[in-house]
Amino acid sequence: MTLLVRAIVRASDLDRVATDDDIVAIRAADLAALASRIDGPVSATESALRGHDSLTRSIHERVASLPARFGQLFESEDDVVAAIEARAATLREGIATVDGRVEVAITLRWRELSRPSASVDGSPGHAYMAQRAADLALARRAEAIAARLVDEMAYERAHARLKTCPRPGVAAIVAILVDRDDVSDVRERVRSFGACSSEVTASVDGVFAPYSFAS
Amino acid sequence: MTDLTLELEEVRAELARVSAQLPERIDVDPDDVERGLAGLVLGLVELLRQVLEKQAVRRMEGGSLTDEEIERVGLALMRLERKVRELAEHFGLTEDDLRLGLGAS
Repeated sequence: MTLLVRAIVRASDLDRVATDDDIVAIRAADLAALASRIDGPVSATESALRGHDSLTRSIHERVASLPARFGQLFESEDDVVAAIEARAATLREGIATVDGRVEVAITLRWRELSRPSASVDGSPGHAYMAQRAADLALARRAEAIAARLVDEMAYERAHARLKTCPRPGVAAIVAILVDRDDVSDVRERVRSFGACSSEVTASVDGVFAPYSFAS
Repeated sequence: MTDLTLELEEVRAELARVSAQLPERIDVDPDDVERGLAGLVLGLVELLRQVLEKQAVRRMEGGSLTDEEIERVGLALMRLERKVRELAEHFGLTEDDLRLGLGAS
């Protein structure tokens, strides 16, 4: 039997989260982990991942929580307590940051083909370096656009996580922590940003539990 | 500040940024220690390779590398990247597995 951690919450919020045979609460001073008891190996199947996401989302709808990435396994409750105690200050601060907020993911897609191909006559070493220089220039451009988006949204940089050029065609994925009441407004501002940009389109996914702000 | 001092400062800042984001707890599956360790080691190698690559590109764009040096550095980085990918494939690791959970890039 192992424990699969789902989320970390304040111990004082536990009475607002339903615990049952599937979810147990493990207290560590003023914090607590919500975890599932698992028999046998844990596999990251689609249904397991969807189940985990559904649970973390449901927990975060009720109380401020830091969702665990799927697969955080512990042998015993003592191990969970030790892990929480080792990071207690960071976890407390993290919970305070996400309190009343949810995560949305904004995807910025290039309007034109993303990867510039550097045409270089000559040797493989030069071609490699030229391609890398072009890729890095593209990443810098993507970073500047994403930073402009965050600024225009009037959100603190600390409440945004940015991944540039994560895959072909995508300039950046920006995870933003937004107040629950502001989600509709954020969608509208993102739509407007994409409509005004000649370089990228913009779309919003979510809301999600604040995974990007939990580590 | 000289070019070399500036570059060292940048590398130091990059490593500080990375070390601040490294997970406090490394998950190594006890049933698959070899793969877990390979992921960790290759992730670090890949990280250093990317830092070196950024520095090399910056120097190339700044005009401080000769043609011969660009060729030599380019070939070395290309071979290192190829080798990391081969080893990752051997251990069944994906590009995501080598990212060490560093978040924003």
